[in-house]
Amino acid sequence: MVGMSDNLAAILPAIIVMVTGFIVLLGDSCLPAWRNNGKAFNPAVTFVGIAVALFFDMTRMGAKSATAFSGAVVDDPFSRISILLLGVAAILAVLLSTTYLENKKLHHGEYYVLILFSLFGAMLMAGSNDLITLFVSIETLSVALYVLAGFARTEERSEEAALKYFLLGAFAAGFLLYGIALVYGGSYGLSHTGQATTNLTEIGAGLAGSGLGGVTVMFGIGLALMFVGFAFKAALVPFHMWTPDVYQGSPTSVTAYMAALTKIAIFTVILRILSVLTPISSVWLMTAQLLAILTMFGGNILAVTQDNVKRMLAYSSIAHAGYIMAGVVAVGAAEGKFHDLAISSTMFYLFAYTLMTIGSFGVLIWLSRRGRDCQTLGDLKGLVKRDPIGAYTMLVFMLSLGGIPPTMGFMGKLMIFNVLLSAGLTPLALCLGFASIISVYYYLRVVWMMCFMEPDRETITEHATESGGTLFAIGVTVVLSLFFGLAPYLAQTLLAPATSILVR
Amino acid sequence: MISGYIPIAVLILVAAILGGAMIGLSFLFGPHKPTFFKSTSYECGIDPVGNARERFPIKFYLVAMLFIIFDIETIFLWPWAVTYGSQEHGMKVFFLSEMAVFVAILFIGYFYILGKGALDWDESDRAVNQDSHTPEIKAKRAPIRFGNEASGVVDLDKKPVGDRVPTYGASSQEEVVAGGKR
Repeated sequence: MVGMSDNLAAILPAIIVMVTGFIVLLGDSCLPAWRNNGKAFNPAVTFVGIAVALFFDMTRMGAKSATAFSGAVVDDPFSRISILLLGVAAILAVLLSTTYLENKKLHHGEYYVLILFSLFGAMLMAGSNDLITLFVSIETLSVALYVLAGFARTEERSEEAALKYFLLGAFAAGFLLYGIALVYGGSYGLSHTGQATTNLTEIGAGLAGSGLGGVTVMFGIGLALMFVGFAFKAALVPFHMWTPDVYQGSPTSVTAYMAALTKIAIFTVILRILSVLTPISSVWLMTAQLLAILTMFGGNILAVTQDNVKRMLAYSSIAHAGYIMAGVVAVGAAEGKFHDLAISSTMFYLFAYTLMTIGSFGVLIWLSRRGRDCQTLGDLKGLVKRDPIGAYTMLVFMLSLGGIPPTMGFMGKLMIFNVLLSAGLTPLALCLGFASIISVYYYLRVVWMMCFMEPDRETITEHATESGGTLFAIGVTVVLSLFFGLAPYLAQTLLAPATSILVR
Repeated sequence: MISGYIPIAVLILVAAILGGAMIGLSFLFGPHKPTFFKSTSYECGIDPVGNARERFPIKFYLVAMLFIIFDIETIFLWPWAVTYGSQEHGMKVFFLSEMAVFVAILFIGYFYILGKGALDWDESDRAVNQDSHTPEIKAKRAPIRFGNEASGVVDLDKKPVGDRVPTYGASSQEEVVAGGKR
């Protein structure tokens, strides 16, 4: 068929990731030589596969935007940038996983296969231009993550996490699919062809033509239901209930991976769909603002009382989803050059969030390298004397998460604050400021524990085993968070192409 | 548009009132004289025997899942085969390659389960779970037992004690092993 190679080229990084998944799956189960050296083979092949995918993604960065597969998939700078972020998150997660899995006796090939398959789903999400493609790719991502959450099969908490995530996720998928069905029904008469459609480009063109007049009750309810599904995946208050349990119960390397991956993928999708809905922004802007405010305050207030660091970071990731959502609101409200600035600021914040979340969970993994999970605040007491590397890197991530200069988290918050003000959303900007002030309390509590408390007797242990991959991943995240915190405009130039979302 | 739903709403309302009235009124005014035989299940079920929470060999679930996977493959093949004949030549090549990709992906899954030993019914040659990589764990782990002692499959290291009596409804393996007979 003519043009098939163009179609495949549009999703090349995703295909590479998928094929790598197949290779690892077959190698680990069928080749005895591979199986016996699974500890080395599985992560190495996974790493190389993702790296090759990212290489092809970057070489295509300057290429012309195009749609493929009859408009079901879009290949534009926006999707390429978010595929880049997704790949970076996955590579960091693979680096963090190896030693941790070995210590927990969880070393299986399937772990890496599931990482690759979920990455495949996330990459397709970033490029999907049709609601059906979108749904299938979200499910590909989610199903792999449900299994990963329960990967520590002998731990009750991990099982609980997997089951909760699965049941609630399936429920949310139902909302999403029902919403898509109603949007499909409501799009009748919107598009030029006069037929119902799930294609985002056609829906966007139809809405641009009809404006608010084209929004029927069915279409509106469909959109609302779809956003319930998205809000669940992004863990926005009040759809966040699963997050703390799942993040706490999953193996820490999985938590780091899924916290970063799902947020990047789902906010890419939200940005793309809301850019389609810009002509009717008066319908959803108020709701989105309310969600952002609820999420910022909800996440931060609930995080204050947590004694478990993983749980605390889970609530903090909810709060950060709120900040990103505030950026999304700015994208919807701003016009002209501020619109582009809002998109690049939101992408910058997503990047910052990825680095600091993976980094802070990475430090927990680094501290667990004796085989005992480091989870509670008590485990961190006096860390600066016991393990200076862990303590100082954790300090950087806590400052970054709390939004204190000279880190990337500070620059990200500043940018979003800035675009909110220029979009005329002063109340939301103030809420962002107040919510961040609350958050400083519990981030600095960790620092207090590490620097000014004496270690408990039982937490003092002997020197631990080496874990080069973990240390390397933490090092990269620390250096990048500080570097882009000092030179934010470099990152923004890097992310600038993302502002040309094809659909608009 | 909404007004089109009014008849349905009225129908639902009438059905609810009618159904509620019939059951509610007979509950209110009817005589209540339950006897033992009236309360037992009648013609639509039998009294339960034994505990419903039995242990199954995990193989049952595996078989069920594998069945579903290959069943779905067949279901996908069916509409494909029906529409294939009516395509023009260029589309036929495309159709065939699409299905080849689909079947190839399913075959990868097949080789995976084959490599993992999921289709290996005779477990006597792999008494040790594959998941354990280190020799220490392998040494510590007890040989795999599955099924009830009485169901025919036995632990290889263990000599059978007495006659094998088929036991139904044992709530756990331990129960049978500990008691010998129920």
